[in-house]
Amino acid sequence: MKTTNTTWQATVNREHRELQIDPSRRLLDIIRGDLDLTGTKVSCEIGRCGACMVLIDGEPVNSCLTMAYQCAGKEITTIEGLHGEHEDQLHPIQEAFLEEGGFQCGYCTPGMIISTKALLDQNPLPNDHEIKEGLCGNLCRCTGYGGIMRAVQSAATKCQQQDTQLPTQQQIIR
Amino acid sequence: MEMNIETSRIPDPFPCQVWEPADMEEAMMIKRQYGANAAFVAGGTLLRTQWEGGIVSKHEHLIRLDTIADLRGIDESDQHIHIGALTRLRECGADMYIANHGATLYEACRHIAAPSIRNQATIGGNIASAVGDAIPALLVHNASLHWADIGSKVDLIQQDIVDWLDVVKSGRRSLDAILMGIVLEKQSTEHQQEITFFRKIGRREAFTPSLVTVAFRAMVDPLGHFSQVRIAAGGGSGIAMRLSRCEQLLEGNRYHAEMITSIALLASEDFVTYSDPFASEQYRQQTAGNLLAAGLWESIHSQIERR
Repeated sequence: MKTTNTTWQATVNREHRELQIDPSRRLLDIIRGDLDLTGTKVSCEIGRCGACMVLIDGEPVNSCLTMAYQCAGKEITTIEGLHGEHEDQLHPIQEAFLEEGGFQCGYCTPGMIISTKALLDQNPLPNDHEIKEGLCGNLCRCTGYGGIMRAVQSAATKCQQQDTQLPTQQQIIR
Repeated sequence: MEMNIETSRIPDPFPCQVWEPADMEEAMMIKRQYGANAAFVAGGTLLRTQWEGGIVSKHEHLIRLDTIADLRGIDESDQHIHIGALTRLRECGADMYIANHGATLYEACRHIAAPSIRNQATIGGNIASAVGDAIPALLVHNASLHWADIGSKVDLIQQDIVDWLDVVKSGRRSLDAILMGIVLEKQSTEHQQEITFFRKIGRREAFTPSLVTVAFRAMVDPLGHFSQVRIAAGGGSGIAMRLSRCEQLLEGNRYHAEMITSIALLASEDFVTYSDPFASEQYRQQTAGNLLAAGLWESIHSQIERR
């Protein structure tokens, strides 16, 4: 009978990575501990707060609840993988969070931005209810939700003004 | 191309072996071999939180169910909807077969956890937990569950969800069984209108585990008489149940405004629930009654407005 290989491989922020790891290791620990991508944050560790949110094949997923074997062979995007047209530019969502004060301590912000990316990829012009639903798995302990709502609305507008839909997963990770 | 394979810098203190059974027989064989040291895993979201919270110790062996064919997907036949146990909650909350023939389940799946969890968690895992929010919805859709269990060979069992919950309550549940799928009855709505709703209350407005959930399904004829009434309540870590006296209050009768207060009182009397540091038993019972009454009032009035 077959067991899952301990050689884990995936594409992380456009880069192919291979690791020898326990297949039940949390993706959160792989990202932060093994790959040094510490933009993804550790908080509740039970899937409630969204600080550890990443995209797997374009879908938002809590990396604290995802085991290595569940994301093997997939395309993983962390906050470090988002950028504007050039790698040294901010993504329009990141710009919007800066401009609208969509953060206070900033700890929840990477997760908020990742969830916003997933939301706007699916629904480029969400209404307030859809924004709340899309971000309901992300908690801001500073309770700065007013700024976050404005930031998501602004991000949607920015992307519309660029006359393009948000870049697809492949376009973003170039 | 030469590939640089790194080794994890932080070895896992509790490594485990992850098995990939090709079919039920293999899955059962591994479970038989390792017993309580092995756990079946579908989406794994609940299992990970249980490990993290110290509710269960990390298992030495995980038996993947996603490697077994035919456990995922939604099919329709003349009389039934079949949902594979490994179908993700997100897919259940977006499926038109379920929306048309299992409207309460459809709503429930759209309100379980957050979108990121629904991308990973499965309907089977929600049910197998015995306290998932899909369960009250399945009770009102007369759902049956298809299990595979360890016997001398693999036994396939079809069980009404009410009967399964009775087994859970009695503590006689088989922890070695694998949920394969869920079957919903289609119901003829000829000359009748179906009323359904699902209501959930948690500790805060955003995504949170439920305190109380209520599911409702009934047919209403053109004269306003209720039939085939099914009402269920659950939530938190309580076992969901049908509210039979509430069903009897409506069954065969025509809607009138006094029903609203009566059904709220009956539901709060009938709902068997529990207290914890977050909510008392009385609060949960009263909330179930209020959710039911409000849902019924809203549904009836929106139906009247549509006429």
